[in-house]
Amino acid sequence: MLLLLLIIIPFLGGFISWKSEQYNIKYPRWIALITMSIVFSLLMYFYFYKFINFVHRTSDHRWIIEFSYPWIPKFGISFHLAMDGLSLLMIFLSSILGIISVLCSWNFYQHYKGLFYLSLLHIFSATMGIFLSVDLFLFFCFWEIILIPIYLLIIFPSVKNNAKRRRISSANSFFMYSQFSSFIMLVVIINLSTLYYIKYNFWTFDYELLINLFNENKNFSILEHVLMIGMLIGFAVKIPIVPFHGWFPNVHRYLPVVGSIDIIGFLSKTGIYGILKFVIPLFPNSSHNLANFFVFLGLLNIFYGALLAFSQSDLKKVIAYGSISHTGLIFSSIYAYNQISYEGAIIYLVSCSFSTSALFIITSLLKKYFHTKNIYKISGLLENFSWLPGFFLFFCFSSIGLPGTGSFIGELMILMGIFEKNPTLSGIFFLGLMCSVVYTLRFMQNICYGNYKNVSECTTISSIDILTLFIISFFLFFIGLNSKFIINILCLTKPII
Amino acid sequence: MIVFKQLFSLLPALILMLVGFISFLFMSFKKNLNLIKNLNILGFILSLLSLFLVYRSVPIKIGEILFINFFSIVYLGVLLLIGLCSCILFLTNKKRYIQNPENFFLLINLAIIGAMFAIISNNMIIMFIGIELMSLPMLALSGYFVNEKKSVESSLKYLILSTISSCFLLFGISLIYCISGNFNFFHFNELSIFSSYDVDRIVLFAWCFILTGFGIKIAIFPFHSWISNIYEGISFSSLLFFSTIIKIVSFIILINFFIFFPKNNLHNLFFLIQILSFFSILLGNILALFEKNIRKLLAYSSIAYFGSLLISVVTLFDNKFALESFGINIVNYVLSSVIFIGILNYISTIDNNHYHNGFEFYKGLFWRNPILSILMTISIFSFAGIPFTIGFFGKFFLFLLIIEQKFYFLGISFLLGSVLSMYYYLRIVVNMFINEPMINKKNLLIKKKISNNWIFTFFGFLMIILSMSILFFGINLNFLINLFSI
Repeated sequence: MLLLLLIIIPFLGGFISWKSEQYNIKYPRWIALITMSIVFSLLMYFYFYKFINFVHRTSDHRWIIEFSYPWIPKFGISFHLAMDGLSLLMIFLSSILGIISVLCSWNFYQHYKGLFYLSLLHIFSATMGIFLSVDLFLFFCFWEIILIPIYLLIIFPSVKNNAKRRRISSANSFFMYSQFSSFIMLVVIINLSTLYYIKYNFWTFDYELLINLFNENKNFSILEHVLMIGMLIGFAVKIPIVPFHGWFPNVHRYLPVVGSIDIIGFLSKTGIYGILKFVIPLFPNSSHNLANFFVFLGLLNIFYGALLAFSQSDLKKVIAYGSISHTGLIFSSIYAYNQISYEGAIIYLVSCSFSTSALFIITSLLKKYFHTKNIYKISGLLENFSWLPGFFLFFCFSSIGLPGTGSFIGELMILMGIFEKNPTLSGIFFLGLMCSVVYTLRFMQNICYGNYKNVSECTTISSIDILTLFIISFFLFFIGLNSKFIINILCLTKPII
Repeated sequence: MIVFKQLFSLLPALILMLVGFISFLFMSFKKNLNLIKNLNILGFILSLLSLFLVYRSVPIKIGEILFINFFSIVYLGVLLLIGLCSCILFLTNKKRYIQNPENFFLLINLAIIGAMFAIISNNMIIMFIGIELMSLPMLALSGYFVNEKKSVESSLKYLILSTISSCFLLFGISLIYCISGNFNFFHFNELSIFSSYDVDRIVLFAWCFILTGFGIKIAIFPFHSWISNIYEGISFSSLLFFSTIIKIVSFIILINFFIFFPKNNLHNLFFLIQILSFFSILLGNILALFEKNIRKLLAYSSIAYFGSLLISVVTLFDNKFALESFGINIVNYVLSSVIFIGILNYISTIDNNHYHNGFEFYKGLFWRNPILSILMTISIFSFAGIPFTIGFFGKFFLFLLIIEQKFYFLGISFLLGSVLSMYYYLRIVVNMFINEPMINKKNLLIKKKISNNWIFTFFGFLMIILSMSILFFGINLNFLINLFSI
């Protein structure tokens, strides 16, 4: 029942927030904040009172808690929610990022606040659904439904009218990419279920049953490979992995900052979560067969993202391509099939979500004070502002792996894992990481130094922004200094790899 | 000899006949719109309720010519619901066209009676008469608003096409009669006794004619070109009738034919239908992709929709979900069409210049009429197949059929079609949600004239009930599945 609450509370909160706009323009953001906090405190409560004891009991359980209710019995579809270590961690991360995204939109969007928070909370609710559902049909429903609020968030009215057409076309490209991939995923899911029906003569969409389908025999089968690639495409579009990344930079360019945080924090994570939770366990043989190929694909991602980030002039595009580079590292470390690099990937994922979100927030602040997003026109941040440059430098360094932050631990563990598999490859990965250092340095150097003549009178940022950035940096340090926390959560249940 | 029980099971049709007769009498002596309107709506409601009584006595044969089973009871309900809805839709725009508005109700009544008999017929002749009784009032309905130029044009086009399709159908029926020597559906299985090379060829030939006849009525791939013109010309209250009743009835008769036909004659035919389905899905979606007229978009999307429904016809014998998938898709189509066309109809009543056909007209509708546009969004999402609406389950079932039967090419076209359809349906939704700071002349009309009073009318009540039922069935599908699994 708790699991259902995690989905329902933000869903209802969205409607209340929307309708409360009529009474006072300030209510929606408070209601959104309260809703997010309720979810977060619920999670904290259960973490400290339920899950901690769970560790000592057993480590071979698949689920920590479970909720099941039959939905369409004829097809064996049930409303089956369950939580394991990975999804608990992801939900923790989402709820923190949810609070941050409410805080950083505190003073924006005077006009359509209600609708804005409605879509924000519904994205949050659907994300919870994605992380909790273990019935493949239910999972797909949430996977599809999350697109609508994100789409609405992208096409929301912005200040400038001339960018409207381009913003809508970028939103459309996002939607088409997602639709196409998710329909392929639907076909794969139905195909899995049909295979199960042919074999055992009853319909089911349940993860725990379908997982046996290819696990039993270790033979090479073309069907398994085709299905695996189909499902992987579904997830790869959202991460995004290189051939499917076309929507990503443009969408970020036209999105409001909250939307960017949502896409980085929620959507990309759902992709990686999907690969870990569904692709690898459901298709173990073919994933293992093609693992080397996927490692190289991730490597390609790292270089490609870094190179393109180096040549961009738009602030948000630089960060977006940088994030493609980061996800490449995560993707290839998943397919390294190694416990250390798997844990490292998760730590790196969490830390990257925080640092990239923080960079997006800082981008929006820079745009507010300098009235441009072009890197070459922003300069002299260091001299003219009091709080911003410190945070900016910190998050930049954290995204390239400053010791003490989470990224460092993550990178270290990933490289160790890959080194165990193939030392030469690990060297190439190191080169890839160097590339990310290069573009980040250029980015920092352009913005922080130099002269800026027309300094506006406002040389300090508002306290709410300081609070937001402070929360993020706290968590970055927390992960960096206490990585055991994440590994403990992951080890609550039977590890996936 | 017809016994009372058999007569009783015809109650829904009898009620409508009685209503039609009474309203005909009233029309010839003293025209009274209010009375005829109330009488017809009451007739439809009573007829719907009487289905619950009839439900207990099915399956039942009435003579050799009619056969009612649970399958047909459900679809009779659907037809009556459409009739009721189009009566209500007509009432919302009666102020514009004041030329004998009483006739409309009588025509709808007659057409529904024809459709009902076509569905429950067990005899090809009765079926043909039913189809004709359905099509001829449609002819009058399509040209009902004679003060519009395009209306006359589309009426003429429909006249010609309807005649041609009837000819094809009749020729196909007579060819089958040549072989089997009987008009009855139950006697089709005798065809397999005579089966030889020549007979099979003649049966295939006959089937091609029948398929052409129905293809024109359903407007699938090679016979689709009439549909956009007719959709463009006629008024929305007739359009609802056009886009749903003809197609649904033709489809159900097609399925009736196939159910009783011996399987071994049909393999070549099913391959042909697969090809038709493949091209209908692709063509309908591609045509709709570049369309800027909302009526034409509806027409092209319906080509694709019914093209994809052919999949459930092809899998009729091999898969037990085929009928369920058909039923769920039909329910989705009916509910979404009623809401979509109903709202378009309501909007069109305030616009005399045909601006409402373009997308521009709907720009920023959400910010002025939230409830109206939310209902419209629900119906569009159900057309497109977003989760938690019935449309998604319709799509799911079709994917299930395709995958189980391993129709790879159909699967590819359906996949592509689904993605493309998502794009053009989304365009309508986006238009409603864009906030346009500069209100141009076209959508100024909406701002001025539509208030939120429409919710409290009968029409608004109907729209809200229907869209809630889309969401309700989208979450709780068990009811519908049980209804259609016979």
